[in-house]
Amino acid sequence: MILEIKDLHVSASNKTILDGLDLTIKQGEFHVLMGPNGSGKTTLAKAIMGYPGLKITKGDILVDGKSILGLSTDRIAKLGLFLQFQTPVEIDGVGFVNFLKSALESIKDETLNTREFMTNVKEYSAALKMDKGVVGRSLNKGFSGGEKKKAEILQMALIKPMLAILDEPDSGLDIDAIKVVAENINNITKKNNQGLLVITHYNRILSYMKPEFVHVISHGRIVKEGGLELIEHLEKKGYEEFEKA
Amino acid sequence: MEYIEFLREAQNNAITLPYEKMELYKRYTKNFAIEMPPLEDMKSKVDEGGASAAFEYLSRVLGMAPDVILLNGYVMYNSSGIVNEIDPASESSFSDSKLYKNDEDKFAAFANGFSKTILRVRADGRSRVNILIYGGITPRPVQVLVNAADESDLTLNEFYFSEGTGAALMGALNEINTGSNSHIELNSIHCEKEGANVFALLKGVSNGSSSITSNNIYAGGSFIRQRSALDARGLGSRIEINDAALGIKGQSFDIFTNLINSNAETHAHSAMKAVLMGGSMAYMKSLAKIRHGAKKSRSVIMERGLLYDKTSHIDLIPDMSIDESEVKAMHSSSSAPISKDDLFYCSTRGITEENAKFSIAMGFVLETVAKIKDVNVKVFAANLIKERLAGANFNLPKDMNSKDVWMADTSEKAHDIRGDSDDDGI
Repeated sequence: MILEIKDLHVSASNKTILDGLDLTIKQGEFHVLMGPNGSGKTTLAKAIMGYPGLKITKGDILVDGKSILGLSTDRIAKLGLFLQFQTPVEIDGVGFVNFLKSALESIKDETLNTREFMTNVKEYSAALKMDKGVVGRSLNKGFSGGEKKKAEILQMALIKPMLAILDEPDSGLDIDAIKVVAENINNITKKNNQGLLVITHYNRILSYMKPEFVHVISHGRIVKEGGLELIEHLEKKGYEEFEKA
Repeated sequence: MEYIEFLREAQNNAITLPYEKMELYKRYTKNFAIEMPPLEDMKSKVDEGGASAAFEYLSRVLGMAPDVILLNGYVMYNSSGIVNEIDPASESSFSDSKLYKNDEDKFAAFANGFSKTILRVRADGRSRVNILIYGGITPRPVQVLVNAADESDLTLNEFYFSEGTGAALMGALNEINTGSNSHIELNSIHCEKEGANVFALLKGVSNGSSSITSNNIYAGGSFIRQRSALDARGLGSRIEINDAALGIKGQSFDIFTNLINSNAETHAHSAMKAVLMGGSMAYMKSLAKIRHGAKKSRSVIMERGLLYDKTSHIDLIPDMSIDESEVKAMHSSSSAPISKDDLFYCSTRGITEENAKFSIAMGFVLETVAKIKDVNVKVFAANLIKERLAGANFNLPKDMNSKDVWMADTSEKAHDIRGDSDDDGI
C-alpha cells in the first residue's frame, strides 16, 4: 500500500488548518509526525480517515494511486488504514470484545470463529499487560488513560491494517506502560509488515522505537523532514524555529 | 470523597453483559421467534390436545417453558406450584388486593371489573415462575398478586403479547408484598404487537430487610403507560426499578415511577432509558420520596435518552422530595442525539454507519437488560431488542444534517466537501 497526500488543504468552521500538506508513506515504512499544539497533526489523521466535520478545499489523498476523498470512513478502513485515537470515545453497553469482533468481521467480511478470536484477544491483551477485566467491559467505558491506549493497540493487533496512524500513543501512559506499548507496536508492525505514522509531541516513546522518517508540521504544512537526528534536534531546540518559519 | 464513592457505585450499577457468557448461553439456547403465533392457533392447539399441547407448542416457539399461560383471561397451568387464582368477584379478592381500593386508581378499578381472574403467587423458599400473558384482539386485563414469605427468593417473569389494536387496551397490574429478608425480581417483557395499547400498574411494598427489583423492557406496542410505585417500608429494605423503552416507529411511552424511602437505611434506585426513532415519543418521570425518619437512606434516579432523529421527542423528569436530612440522594438526567464522534469511531473500525447506529442503540438498551439476573429472560430480552432493531429504519433523510443531529453524507459527491460541522477538529 502507498498512501499519498498531495497539497492537502483542510478547513473547519471556515478556519484553515492544513495548508498544502504533502506526505507519502509506503507499507512497511515507519514515519513520525511531530509538531506543536494546534499545528494540524490530529486534523491530518482525521482527514485521512474521512472525518465528516472537516472540509477538504484543495488537494487529494490517494491510496495506491486512487483518491479516497469520496469514500465513507468504513470503506477507507477496509482499504487497510487504521487510526488510533488520541481520546477514544466511550460507548455505553457496547461490549469491548463484541465491538472488536464486529469490527474484524466487517473488515474481513467473514464470520469469525469465536474460540479462535478469543484466543487471539487473550494473547494480545496479555502481551499488552492489560487487566483481564477490561475486555469484559463496555467499549472504553471506565478505562484509565493507559487502558484506553492499550485497548487501541489491541485493536490494531487484531485488525492487522496495512498502515496505522497512531495519534499520541504515549499520552496518559506511565514510564513502564510506554515501554510495553512501544514494544508491542514494534512487534505487531514488524510481524505484519505494517506501515506506521506515529503522531507525537515528545520523543520518549521514540526512544523504544526506530522510526525511519521524521516530519515536522507547523501551521498546517510539513516544514522539515529528516531522520532520527531531527528528533534529537527538536528535543534540544523545541519547535520555536519552525513556528516562525 | 464519600459522595464521589456514592456516585461511582451508582454508575457501576449499570454493568454490561459478559460477552463470553452470553455467547455460551446463546449456543445452548434455541433460536426462538419473538413474534407469537396468532391467538387462533393457540386456541386450536388447546382444542386439539388440551393445555399440555399449548405448553409444548409455546415452549418450542419461545425456547422457554411457561409455568402459567393466560390466554385472554383463561388460565392454564403447566406446573401449578405456587400460583393459584382468585375469582375477581369473590370476597377474598377484595381482602387480598389493594390495587383498586384507592379512588385514584381508576384503571385498577376498571381492570378488576373486566378481569376474568386474579393470579396469586405465594412464594416460599426459592422459586421461579414464568407467566405468559396472551391478549387477543380484545385483551382482558391481567392482575397478579405476589406475596413472598419470609426468607423467600422469587423470580417472576411476565411476558406480554397482545393482538389488540386501536381502542383495545392491554392491562397489566402487579401488586407485591414481601416478608422479611425476601428477594423478588419481577421481569416484565413487553412485546405486544404493533398498534397495541398497554396500561401497566405496579405497586409494591418491601418489608423488613427485603428487596424488590422490577425490570421492565418495552419493545412493542404503540402506546404504553406504566405507573410504578415501590415503597421501601422495612428497615434496611431495597427497591429498584429499571425501565428500558425502545421506540422504533411512532411509539409513545408514558412512564412514571415513584420510589419511597419510608424507613431508615433503605435504598431506592430508579434507572430509565429510552432509544427513540421514527417519530417515537417518551415521557419519563421518576419521583423519589424520602420520608421523615428514613435516616441513613439513599435514593438514586438516573434517566437517559438517545434520539436518532428530529421527529422523535423525549421528556425526562427527575424529581425528589426529601423530608429527612441525614440521607444521600442523587439524580441525573440526560438526553442527546446519537454522537457523531461515536459513529466516526465505529466507522474507522470498518463498521458501516447503519451497523454502528444499530450497535449503539442495542448497547444502550442492553445495559438495562444486563440487570436481569434470570439468564434465560436476559437472553430472550436481548434477542427481542435485536429483532426489533433489525426492523428499524436507520436510513434517515439527508436533511438531518443540522446542529441538532448529525448524519454523514456518504454520497459520491462528497469528494469536494466532506461534512459541514462546527467542529474545529484540531
